[in-house]
Amino acid sequence: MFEKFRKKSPWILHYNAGSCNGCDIEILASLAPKYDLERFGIINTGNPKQSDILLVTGPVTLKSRERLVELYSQMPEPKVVVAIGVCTCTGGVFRKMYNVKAGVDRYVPVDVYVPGCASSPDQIIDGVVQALAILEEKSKDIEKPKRLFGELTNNSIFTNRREMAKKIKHEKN
Amino acid sequence: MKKIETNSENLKDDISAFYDYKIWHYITVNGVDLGDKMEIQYLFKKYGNKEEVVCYFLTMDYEKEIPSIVSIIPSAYLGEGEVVDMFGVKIKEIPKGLLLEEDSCQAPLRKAQ
Amino acid sequence: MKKTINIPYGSQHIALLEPVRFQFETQNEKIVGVKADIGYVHRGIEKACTSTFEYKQIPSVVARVCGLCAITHSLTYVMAVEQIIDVNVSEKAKYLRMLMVELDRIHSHMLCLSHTAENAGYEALFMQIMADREIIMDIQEAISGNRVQFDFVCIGGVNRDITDEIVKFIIKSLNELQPKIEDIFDMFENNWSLSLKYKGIGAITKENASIYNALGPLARAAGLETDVRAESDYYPYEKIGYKMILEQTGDIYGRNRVRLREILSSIDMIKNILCDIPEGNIIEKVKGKPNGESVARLEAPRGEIFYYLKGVKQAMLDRVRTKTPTFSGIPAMVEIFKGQEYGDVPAILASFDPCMSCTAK
Repeated sequence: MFEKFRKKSPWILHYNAGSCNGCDIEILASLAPKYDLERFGIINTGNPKQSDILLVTGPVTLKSRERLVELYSQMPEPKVVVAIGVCTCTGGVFRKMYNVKAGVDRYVPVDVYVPGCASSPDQIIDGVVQALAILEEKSKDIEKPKRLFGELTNNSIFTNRREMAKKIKHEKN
Repeated sequence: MKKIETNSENLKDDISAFYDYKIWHYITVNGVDLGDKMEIQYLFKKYGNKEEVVCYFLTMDYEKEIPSIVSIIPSAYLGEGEVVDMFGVKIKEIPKGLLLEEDSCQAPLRKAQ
Repeated sequence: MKKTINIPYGSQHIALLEPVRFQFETQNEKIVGVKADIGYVHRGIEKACTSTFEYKQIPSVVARVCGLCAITHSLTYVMAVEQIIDVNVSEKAKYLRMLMVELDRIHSHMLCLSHTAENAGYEALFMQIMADREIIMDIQEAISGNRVQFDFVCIGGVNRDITDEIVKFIIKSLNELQPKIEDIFDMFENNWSLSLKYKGIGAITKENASIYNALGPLARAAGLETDVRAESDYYPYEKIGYKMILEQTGDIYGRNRVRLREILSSIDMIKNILCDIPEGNIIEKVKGKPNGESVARLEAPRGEIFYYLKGVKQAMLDRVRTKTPTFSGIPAMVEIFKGQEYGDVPAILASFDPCMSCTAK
């Protein structure tokens, strides 16, 4: 049930981590009637706890890095990160400036990279649609019966804490 | 650009004698690193008029402290804050940290680094 | 003394397009104190302009300060450089530059209007204005080849010429746009629920606007006569029918009216520009290295953009100072918030049209 709904109506969260606004207005334009990203059931929300897809723009500046990681960690699993714009992917023209680090993938794992300066709405829509496929795959992965497929090894099942401490200590050695 | 020289002692008197908020539009405070000392510029423009920009400037050593003009022009705290951050100079009652984080490069526009 | 409550607003918020953080100190619903934290987008472009890039490359670098007013940033920089290396730009290039600046103004104002409508709870109007805005984006794409970051101007002129077909296309699209803007104007003027959210909210007096150095539509809505287009003779704005647009109310309603009337007057100006574009080269050859100091000002959609340059006869400039409209607008914004209800904050903030990428650089 949830799997179906999640795919049909993913909610996106948009964070500007120091971009030039070019990609941000293109995201707005792609939500608007001419390109109409909302036909995929997508709605732009401001609440990280209810969103499935994180759209990041901008080469992460030193001041916004904590907020970005915080937003990412507040989102529930499964989640997909889309990096929009060339400066988000690699740093672009801002690379080597003193207050930015090159690219968003130094802070959060990125699933889809959308190039362009600024990315056109067509590219953004393509990126988000690819993200939908990844989202579906990830949610299937979560719901897979792991014990049945033998992916849960004995090492990670513990009956009490003392046993766990023993085993993990052993592994470290 | 019309340049008028002043110094840190006379700065507040000069600006308050000159500035009238009904006539003059305050543009910004600007800093230029001259290599061994700083030049701080205060830029103004007349409203509704095609005359050139007027610039009051003073030169100062890096370590010296200059007075703030916030009491005369209340919106100047942003421009002064930016100069403080970018050049690491001292202006009275203007704190650091408008734009920079603690672990980012301090005084990035200073030349002697 | 009543107890006050601090409410943070941002840096990520549904009503915010960009990261800025306000700390509101409220008493019941009323705001009594505001602190603004603007450094989220600081990247260090001024440093890169003097250490990484040569002066001929900088027009495309400063365009990335802000995507909404990219053309005005590179144009102001180019104007400042042209003063210190003595290039005479042809009249045709000047007209093409004016054309792009006015197009940029229209689409930026429309984005702001749609955002204001959305924050007053009017999602349908947001969609309508965004759909109409695409007409301007198509024109920009036809002229320059890109929708947002078009590196159209360069030192000595502009990069692309305009053809007769494009002129026809622009006039046809603008004729299409004009009645739509008039419809939106009517909506903003007469809609009852919008006027509840807009009239008398977020007002500033003319006196305060000039004390706190407000700029652009924010100042003109309060009746303060400040517009760089009227204060410089670099571009022949009088010839193409420029009129300063003033309102007296100073509230959100007044700011929206200024923007809508400016869109209409920009449409007229663009038509006049297209009628009398002179013949000539679009680009002049550039020789020499910049030497000396220069300043340049230009009216961006949000107010005055100011550039200060210093060159020392090298390919790298000695100092590039950018002063952007929102940066000087922040003190006036903070002043307006005091005494307003907390619930009106999104609508007021959207009506300032703040551009944080500009502010922090």
